[in-house]
Amino acid sequence: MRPLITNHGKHSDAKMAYAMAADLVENSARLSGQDALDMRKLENNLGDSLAKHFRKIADREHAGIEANGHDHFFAEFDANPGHAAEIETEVMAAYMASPFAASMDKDLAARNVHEVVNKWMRDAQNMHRDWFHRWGKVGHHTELKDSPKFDKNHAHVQMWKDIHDGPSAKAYAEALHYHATAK
Amino acid sequence: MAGSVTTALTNSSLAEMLSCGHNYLPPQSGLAVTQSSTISGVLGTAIAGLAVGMAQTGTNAGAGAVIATFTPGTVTNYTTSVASTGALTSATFTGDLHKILLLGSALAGNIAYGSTVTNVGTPGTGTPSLANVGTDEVAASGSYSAGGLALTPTAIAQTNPVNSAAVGFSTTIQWTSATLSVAGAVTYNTSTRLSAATAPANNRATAVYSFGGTQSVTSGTLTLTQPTTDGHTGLIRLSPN
Repeated sequence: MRPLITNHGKHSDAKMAYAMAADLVENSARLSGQDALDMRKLENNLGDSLAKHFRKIADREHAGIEANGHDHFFAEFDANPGHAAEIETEVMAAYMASPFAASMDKDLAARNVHEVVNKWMRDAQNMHRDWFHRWGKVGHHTELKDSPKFDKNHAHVQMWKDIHDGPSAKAYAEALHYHATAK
Repeated sequence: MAGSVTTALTNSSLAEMLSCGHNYLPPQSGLAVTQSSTISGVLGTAIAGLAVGMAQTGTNAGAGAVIATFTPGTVTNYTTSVASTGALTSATFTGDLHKILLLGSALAGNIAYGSTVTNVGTPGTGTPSLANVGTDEVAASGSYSAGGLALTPTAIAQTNPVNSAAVGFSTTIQWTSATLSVAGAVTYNTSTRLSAATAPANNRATAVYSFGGTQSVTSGTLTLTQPTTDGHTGLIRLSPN
């Protein structure tokens, strides 16, 4: 379990992109010679190309908050499937363009990419939603501003906390049920 | 001497897993069911991933109802421990409520957090011991509150070709607007699933995770990135020798 830390705000798009890229490649420190260099290059290429996707996630979340306010609570926790597929295709293309393509188990790689992409997308989505539902903040990185859509007394603020903090098994289950059925 | 944190599944949780002491099945939310003031119910569609003991929630679900039995010879019929209070048409079934709490960087309790931790006790309160993290839990800040974050399990992965099974959590393990200085984390099961000779029977520690040193965040975001759930890695992974 690796900590990712940002002071005074949200993780930047680039920070999440490079952290995700590190998750998508073998640790180059365990390799030697040309392999280590090529793996580092692949990691950097992925980091560079993934940042735009984290901006796209942020934009989608902010649009959802702008349009729906605290009803954005009902958005799926899972990663946006169309966007996830787009990123997975891009990552696999980067793999195939790398010197490691020939030795790669493509099915295994695709499964791993699917899990990693979905995990990081969920994390990014959650970050934007948590900053809004709990603190009323929207924006990028350390440039956060108050959202006019925020109402600290809205029922969905408590529902969000019940799902994520689990103050009791009953409150957690009821909030999950509400999320699944009340939309 | 200060305390320490070492990554490990706790010995007690391994024994409990062999005693049906932990349910890591993900919630099944908003399932169509038919149940009318009875303990007998019928699922709208047969579905894998339910187990005896999972809690039932929904409009008209009985207070404290859990799945009691599955009817042999059927794939959709079940009974609950408590009758529904009327027509129940949609239900959510949840397994145990697992949580993750953070250990502060100043471990005043002189406890070696690792495989021998048995219980988190009353997080934030009391003298730290192997059965109570007590004041070794980091103080509340931002979205971090005493006891930490709820964890929703993902589908349990049976891995191949590596001989193991693993589970992770779909929950993003993340705290916002938080000022924290932490050394590690403890996952635990808040549900009471096993009897115990002495209280408490809940809040059983399942695993300890070291961050490799102190990690600090100021008025910001702390995310704990989970490993990929496969044959070699996973937050909770069981593999025979």
